[in-house]
Amino acid sequence: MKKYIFILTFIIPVFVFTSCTESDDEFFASTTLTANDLIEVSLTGDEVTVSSNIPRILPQTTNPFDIFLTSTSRKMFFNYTIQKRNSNNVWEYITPSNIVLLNGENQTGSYISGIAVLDAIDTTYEYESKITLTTGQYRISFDPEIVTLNAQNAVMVTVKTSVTGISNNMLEFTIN
Amino acid sequence: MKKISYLLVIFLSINAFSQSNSTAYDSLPSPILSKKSELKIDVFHFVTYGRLGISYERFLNKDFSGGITGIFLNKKSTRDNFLTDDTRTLIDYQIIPYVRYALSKSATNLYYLEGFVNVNGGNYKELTHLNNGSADYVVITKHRYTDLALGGSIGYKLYLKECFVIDLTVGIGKNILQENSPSTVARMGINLGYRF
Repeated sequence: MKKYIFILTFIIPVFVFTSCTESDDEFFASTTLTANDLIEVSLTGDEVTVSSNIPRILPQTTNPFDIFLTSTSRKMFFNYTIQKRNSNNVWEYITPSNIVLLNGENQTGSYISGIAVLDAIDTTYEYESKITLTTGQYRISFDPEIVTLNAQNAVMVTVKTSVTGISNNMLEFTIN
Repeated sequence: MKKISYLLVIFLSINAFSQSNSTAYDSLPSPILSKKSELKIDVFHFVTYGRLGISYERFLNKDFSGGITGIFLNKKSTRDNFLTDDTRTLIDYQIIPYVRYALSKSATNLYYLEGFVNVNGGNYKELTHLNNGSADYVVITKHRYTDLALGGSIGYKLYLKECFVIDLTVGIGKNILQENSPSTVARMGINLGYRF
């Protein structure tokens, strides 16, 4: 019994004390801005166009904010998904096969990461993609955050935004 | 966590070993008691953080001792990566005067309680908002701090050949002067030393 008391004498403090070491003192180098209407979506025939033009010097209520000087990143990304209503009236996620990239980069999977790339004269992060869809009922949903990519040695910038002209950052439409 | 688990295993192993071997010697006066000084090197800080930790302990009587620990330096990679890693503070040095009270009767293996003061200094980083004349921007900046922590520890000592010592310490202190220093400082050590 005495031995177990001795053992407990150490076990309990070790777990209590070591849960509060200096490595718990964490630092996240990130800053968040707000700027509305930085993502656009439009529908023409069977094509959906998604675009985003983010000024490097982003207007704010007081002084404008320099995204590139803060993040040193030439890329910013945002995520969106496309769902199609199936024959059972259930929405299911689709990975579109016909995407034409006009500006920036895409990473496609269960969702699409649209990557806006800073232009040659360092003024605007640009992204534009045209997605051709087959007949059916669709909805496209946006995560209304644009985040700098790979800002490992600087400050990560997150821009809270909205999608121009649609509410709740979701657009429901039908392709005939 | 892995390092902490190793430390725990070492604690328990030495504890079990000492429990099975100490009773026959406990009733005899130990020559250890006539040796009043102890010098130790901290293996834990050296292996985990690349820091140099040295302690001197003076035995005042059978129950009480006082000492001082100095922990200095950091690995070059730790210093180099500080601005870009995810830690907010980096402790450069710690000077720790302490007083210990022996909880066990045995002179060859014993538990102790410790009260300490930890004078610690180093760097902290924060986000600084600047303006270049046309726009605001944010950078990571590094600053110095010095603080003083008060804390307590428990520990275990095992003497081998009446002069070599293994000294294990676990404790925590709270910094009380600066708001940008680490709020707490851990007092952990696996010390190997010599008593003379």
